[in-house]
Amino acid sequence: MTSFLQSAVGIARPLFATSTAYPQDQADGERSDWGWFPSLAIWTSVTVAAAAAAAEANRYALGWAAPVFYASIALLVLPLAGRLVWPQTSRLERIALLLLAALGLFLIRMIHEPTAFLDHDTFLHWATANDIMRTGRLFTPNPLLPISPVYPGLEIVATALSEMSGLPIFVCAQLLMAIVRLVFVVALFLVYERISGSPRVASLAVAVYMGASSFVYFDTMFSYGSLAIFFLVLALLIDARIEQTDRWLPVLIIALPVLAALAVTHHLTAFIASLLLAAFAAFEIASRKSSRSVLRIVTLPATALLLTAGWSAWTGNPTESYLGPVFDGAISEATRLLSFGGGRLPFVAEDGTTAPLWLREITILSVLLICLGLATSFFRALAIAGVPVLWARFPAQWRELFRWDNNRLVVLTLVTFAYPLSIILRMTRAGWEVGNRIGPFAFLGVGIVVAIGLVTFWQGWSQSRLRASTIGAALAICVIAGVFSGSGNYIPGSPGYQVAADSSSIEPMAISAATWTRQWLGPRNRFFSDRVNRLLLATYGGQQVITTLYDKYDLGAVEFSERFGPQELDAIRQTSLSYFLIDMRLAEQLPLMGFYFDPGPVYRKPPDPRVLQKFNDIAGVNRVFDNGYMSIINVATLRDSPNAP
Amino acid sequence: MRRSPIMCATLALATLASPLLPDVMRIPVAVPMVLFVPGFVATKIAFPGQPLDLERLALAVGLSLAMTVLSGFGLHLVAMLNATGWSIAIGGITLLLLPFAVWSDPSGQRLPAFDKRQKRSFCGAALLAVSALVLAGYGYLQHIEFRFTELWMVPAGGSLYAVGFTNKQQQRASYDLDIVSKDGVIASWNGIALANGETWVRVIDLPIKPNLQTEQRIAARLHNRADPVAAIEKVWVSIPPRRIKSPLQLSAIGGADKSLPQDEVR
Repeated sequence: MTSFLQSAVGIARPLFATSTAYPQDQADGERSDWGWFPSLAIWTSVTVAAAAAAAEANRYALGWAAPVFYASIALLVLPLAGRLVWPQTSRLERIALLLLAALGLFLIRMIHEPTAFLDHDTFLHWATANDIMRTGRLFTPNPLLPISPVYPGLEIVATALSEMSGLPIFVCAQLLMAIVRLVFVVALFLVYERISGSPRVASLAVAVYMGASSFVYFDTMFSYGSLAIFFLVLALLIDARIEQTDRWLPVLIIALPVLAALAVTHHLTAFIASLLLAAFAAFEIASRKSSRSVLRIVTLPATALLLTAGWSAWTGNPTESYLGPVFDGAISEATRLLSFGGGRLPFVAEDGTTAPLWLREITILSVLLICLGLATSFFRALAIAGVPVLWARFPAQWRELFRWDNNRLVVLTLVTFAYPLSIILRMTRAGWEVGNRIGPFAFLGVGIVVAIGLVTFWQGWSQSRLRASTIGAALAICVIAGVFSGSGNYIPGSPGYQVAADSSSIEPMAISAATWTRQWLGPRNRFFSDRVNRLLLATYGGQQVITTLYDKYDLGAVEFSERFGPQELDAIRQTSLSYFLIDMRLAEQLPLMGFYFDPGPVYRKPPDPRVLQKFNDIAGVNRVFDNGYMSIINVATLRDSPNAP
Repeated sequence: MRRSPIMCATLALATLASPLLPDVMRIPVAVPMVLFVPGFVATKIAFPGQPLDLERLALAVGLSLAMTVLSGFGLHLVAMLNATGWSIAIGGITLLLLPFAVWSDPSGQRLPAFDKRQKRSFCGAALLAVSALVLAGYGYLQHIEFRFTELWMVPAGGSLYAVGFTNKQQQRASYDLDIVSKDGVIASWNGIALANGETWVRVIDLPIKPNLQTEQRIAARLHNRADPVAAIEKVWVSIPPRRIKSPLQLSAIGGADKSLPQDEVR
């Protein structure tokens, strides 16, 4: 038995055995030139052009389009990542290559949304931005996302840019997101560089971070989380920078505005930033090695916590009611999954469509690669942080384990535990969104820990181009899997309309109908429609849409009820509804997102078309608009009539 | 580097005057002022005398965005979240900060210059990337899955209704439009030819009878001449039956069919 244990531990020995020094970055100090950057810029633009051509082909449902689209992403990342792995690459070139990768991936996202907003969440924030520009004030209720007006940081910046420049809000949003993305990558590199002390580790850490499911699409769309994650990384950079100074001025001028802006931009990110800063401070105090006073150490996290909690409390804790049910559902479903009670079928959309086999394999391979990277890097990262976990230096007393030099690296190493949690949550229906949201924060740790493994274990001192290319290929796989798992297989653009499929449901006819309402009915009418048409009505139409989230009434039940009776009339009266926009296409397919209106009912088959036509025979109901697929029903006369059935 | 404070001051003054500038001039003023300049000046106060390196560049952008966010709350309080308010806020903050900024000598680390071949590479890359976006935008705009005609009938005051339709069939089309009630055809227009995107509108007086005890339904039916059998779109106005609530009300008007005011009928 003892020999078995010794053998088992012996097998695991490589995980605990490493030098605490990085192989020297040979390029640093020797040369500072652009290296392959100009050539790879051309190459990147070729891959972007190939992705655009593939996306265009995908609109015509050509079979080769999706593989070519994803291959373009792989070919974009592969040489850049391979070059970053290479020990002789200079710091300057590394930064330039990271910017190139970020810009290339941003352009690929723009291919998806080239001329107007298409993604679901962008409409939620566009509506808030429209309200700010229309009223000249903040906090106008937004039924699409009631929490958005009380966290208006993103919309304030976009509307400022739009008001001052005269550019449309879409252009301002894209410009803002592009700048934020590029500076985010630089800031993340600088944070990792300060923590690791190595430009090579830092650049690889950012490359690994690009494999996060939200990196390419979710965190570059016009959504409050995109700006907030930038502020979060900036807060980490400020925290690392002010550690070196005794002056309070930088805290006051730099840290305070950034933390305040973060607190009013996104709830979850602000709380996570506060927790990260608090953890850095706690680990610094616990290590008993810091030369800073406790007051200096706790100033930044305390300020962040005060601002975040203060803003949340002042606005009536909307986060609790918004995120509470999401987290409750996620936790209960994850618990059921872990006790083999079943969960969401991976790679199967709610309408039953399955992702291609090759894409599924790449995604699973990516998870395995990251797990392998974490397994071979976790203890190395702790060792480099100064925790005595090495094979040869393991302490005799457990208390000795609580000694480290680099508290930030210790905290980020521990943050990697969130990665498996995010994967488990992704396997559940209710927790998918939470898992997706946790991803970027988990990858803050995953990035640097895996990068340390790449530098100290997988590549090490080796000059082998084959090894560098293999690591580059692994990073490319992670990025493709991140794109796919974050946004599904409808990213290249959909060949045709799909029901309740967000960007695949938004097309010119529905936009035209929404625009018509503004022109002929005027804005601010109370409308009800399905998940996608209500986005268009609220933004293009400027209408006041009714949602379960804001109005607490499920008018979807009225639209899908087989008959129109007193209960349905009462719901219309309670919500002061004036118009239904009824899309007959809902009766053609199951919803891709799993629901036609709001999360809740599970549909096994599409509604009977006759259900959607039940208003036709009711006296006092006017059909004011029809385009053959969609109609607008005015129920105001019926609603206000005392003689209604 | 000595040009920096002058550039910042010029941009800040231009921002103050930006509501008066033409749109083309507003863009090069607004973009740096929202995204960079106020934060850049603030970093010169926080880290006096230090040259602009990558870290301060990132902080300058982040700080500018943060200051814009916080300014937005101030403008909300004074109800000035508009172009004038933003110009005063962003330009004013920058001008207020400028006297406290400490500018460094221009001895910071310089980036290596690009040679001609490298410059050509970047031009080619930029051209290709822009072409890719143009292709994506053009493809998106050209991809029209549904061909349709929008028909509508909306109140225009009293018994007047605006009836109209827009051709979005992506080709020229000819239409017949009928306004009908259960009593027959009220109005009819034949052979209305519209180009793609063109709209036809008429305001008509519908013969709505007040106080009827049966539903009145007046419908507009649009026929495409290419398929004249089926009405491709149909909209209608439904006037619910006027129900008498109690015998007392009936006797009060002597059993007569008393006309109601027009707005009450509607």
